[in-house]
Amino acid sequence: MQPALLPKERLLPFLRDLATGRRLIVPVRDERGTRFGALPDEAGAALVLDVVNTDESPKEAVFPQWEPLFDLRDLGVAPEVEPVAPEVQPWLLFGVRPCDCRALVLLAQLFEADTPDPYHSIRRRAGIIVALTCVQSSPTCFCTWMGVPLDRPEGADILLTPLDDAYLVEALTEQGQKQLAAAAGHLQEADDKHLQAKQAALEALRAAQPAPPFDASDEASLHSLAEVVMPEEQEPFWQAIARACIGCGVCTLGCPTCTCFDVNDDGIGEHAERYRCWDSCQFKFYALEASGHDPRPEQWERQRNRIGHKLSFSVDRFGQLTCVGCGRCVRQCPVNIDIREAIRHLATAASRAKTP
Amino acid sequence: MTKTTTSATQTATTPWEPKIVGILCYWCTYAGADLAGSSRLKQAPNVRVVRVPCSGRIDPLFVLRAFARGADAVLVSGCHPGDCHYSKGNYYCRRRLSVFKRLLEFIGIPKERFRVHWISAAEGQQFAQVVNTMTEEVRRLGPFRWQEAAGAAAQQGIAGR
Amino acid sequence: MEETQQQLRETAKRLLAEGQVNLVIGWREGTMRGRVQPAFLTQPDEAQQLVWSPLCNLNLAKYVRGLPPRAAVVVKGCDLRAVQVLLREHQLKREDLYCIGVACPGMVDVSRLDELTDDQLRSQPADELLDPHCLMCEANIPDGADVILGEVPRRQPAAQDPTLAPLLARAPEQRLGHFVQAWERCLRCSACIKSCPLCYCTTCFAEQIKPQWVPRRVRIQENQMFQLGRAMHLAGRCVGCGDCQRACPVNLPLRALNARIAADIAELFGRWEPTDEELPTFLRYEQDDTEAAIEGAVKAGPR
Repeated sequence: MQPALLPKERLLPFLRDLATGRRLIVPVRDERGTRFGALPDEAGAALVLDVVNTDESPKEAVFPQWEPLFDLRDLGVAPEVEPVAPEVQPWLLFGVRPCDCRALVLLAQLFEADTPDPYHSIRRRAGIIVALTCVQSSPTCFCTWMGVPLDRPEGADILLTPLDDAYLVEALTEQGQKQLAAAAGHLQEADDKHLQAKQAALEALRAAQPAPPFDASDEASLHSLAEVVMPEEQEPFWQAIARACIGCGVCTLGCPTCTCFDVNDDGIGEHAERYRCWDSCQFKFYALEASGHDPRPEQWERQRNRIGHKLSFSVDRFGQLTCVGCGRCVRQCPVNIDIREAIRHLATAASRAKTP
Repeated sequence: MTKTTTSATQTATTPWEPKIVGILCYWCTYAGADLAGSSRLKQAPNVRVVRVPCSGRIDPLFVLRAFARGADAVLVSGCHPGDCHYSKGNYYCRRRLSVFKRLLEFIGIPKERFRVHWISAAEGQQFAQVVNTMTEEVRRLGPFRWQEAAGAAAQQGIAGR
Repeated sequence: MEETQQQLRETAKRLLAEGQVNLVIGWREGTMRGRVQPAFLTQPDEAQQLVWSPLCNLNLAKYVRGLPPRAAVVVKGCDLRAVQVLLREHQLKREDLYCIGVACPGMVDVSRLDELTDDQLRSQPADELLDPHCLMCEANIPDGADVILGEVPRRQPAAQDPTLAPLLARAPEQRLGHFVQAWERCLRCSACIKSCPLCYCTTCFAEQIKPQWVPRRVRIQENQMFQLGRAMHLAGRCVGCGDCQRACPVNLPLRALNARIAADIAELFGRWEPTDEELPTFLRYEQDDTEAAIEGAVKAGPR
């Protein structure tokens, strides 16, 4: 499909037609902040386009905060296990920024690895992602450090790029192309000058973000960064940066790539439900073992674990970073612990290690 | 066999009856309830009794958990001030639950759904009266369902819950 | 406030240089506009990092437990009150902590950061820019600190609580709808617990698994237990600093609960100050405490 143009005032009708047969989920704002949800009213008043990324990430579309796994009946007699499959209406998610697009791909990578997680697959397969790339950065954005592509967000089916009075609309996958057919009536022809305007806007954004302290496209650079996280000589750094950490876990809960979960049973009488719910490596009881041993008894070790996961452990396991530079952990930390400070420090330590 | 519901719930096949959890102190109200029973007083069967040694033992969490697990109302009852088997347990209870009751009213839970009484071991009649009155009041109010209180807001989320 | 900032830096420097304390906990500039970070200073020349501005809302009392003596902490009025409650609860010894008090003109409402100019983030806030917690403050001068820096008028709480008044004006079903809608969004992240200086239980009731009071499902049935349970556990102890409200990533109505309980306690039992001789509110009772919550206390028959 050729790139097309959508006048900005036609965005809502376009989205409604695009989402025919699907639940339309967009960035919305309410008293609690910005997040993804259904539009509460027909006029679309709460649709939010003036934030770069929402306070709550779209992670819940594929990995909700809690979900039942199976039911247990007739406990004590002859227990029956009834798996509970997620009941998912087909959905269309609009307004997903490149950082969050990559995050959804990373989530899929993790959930499909080894034994595929059916709860995640059922949800993901039911969805279509319409990305909205960024032409402006917020002060806490650092996606360019992580090499997140702005021109073709990963895992998205359709891409909208905001230009002056219109959106450039591009199909990125076959499914996206098919879905666009339902809303084609709103679209006009785009030409080269629009494509150039897109490139120019994205270049300007890249230039506006602070320069990356390391090269995310260079494998060797990634590995040397990964190697400086755990060694003993960095312990004083971790202790200092995490001194203020109160272990609240907001960094992990807001993070679009964090996936840790706990599994609990809860029931009454002869009937129980096993469910999973988000957990956080920042909580004291997260790693505490039944023996009483805690592999990460100090808060700084837990912070190191979180940041290490994003910059080091995932590089070892999947060959890539799992931080997407969305900045939510930075914005939401009550005591302003800033992962960018850690990244800068580690990048310096890594380059020093390379040139002794 | 795979079930496709989003959570495990009980389906009501019988008409709704108020479910009232009664947290009663052993030495006074529980004995009073027992007296009501052995006197064959006519009482609504809607109160599920939880026995505690003293009303001072009552943690507001008991009440909240009852509401979390499907209670339509909670009744707390203990010894009259001055008659506590442990001397002062009910004084602490009185302070704590006064503030707690106001808090529940502040957040909008109708006051008929949480009642605190003093009923002694000899007051079987009063116990039966309270049970019957409270059951009727709660029947009039209807079932207490958290999700319905929020109304349409429940369906707005990204996960559709 | 700049003058007081200078005094603060000099005080911290002197305390460290003279070896009176081995640690000074204060605030320093954050990495984003409108933010401060806690600073943990161990060297005299680090004192230059300290700041004092209407952005210094973080209650540093959360860091004072378990410190090796002797440490110093910078405290506003509410922060000192938290320290005093901790002292009454035997969480530390007075002689192990040096309290550097700062007379507080009130903190700016950082939820309105986008509307505020840079200048407004540096200078004494006008009343209409104050954080709602500060509007109801009665203890902005940290009386009882080892030193008090700066001079500001003693605050009087506003006539009407800006958080409670609009809620009380609504009918009960509307209030319930408001709270339930809000609590559906609770992430059960525990930011409110962790940011509160007075939530220090090794195992919070919300984390307990023997028994599991509050299942970890994130839905209204469990969330209401968490919200109301937490409010009750702070009843009579909350100092109204607002850290919980600011830490909450979904801006839940936390202050409404704490303020309501505080108002009810003041009305029914009198407000308790941690420096009072009397025991805390719920550790004592009076024979003639109100019976208003008790339904028609029916007395009949011989006992």
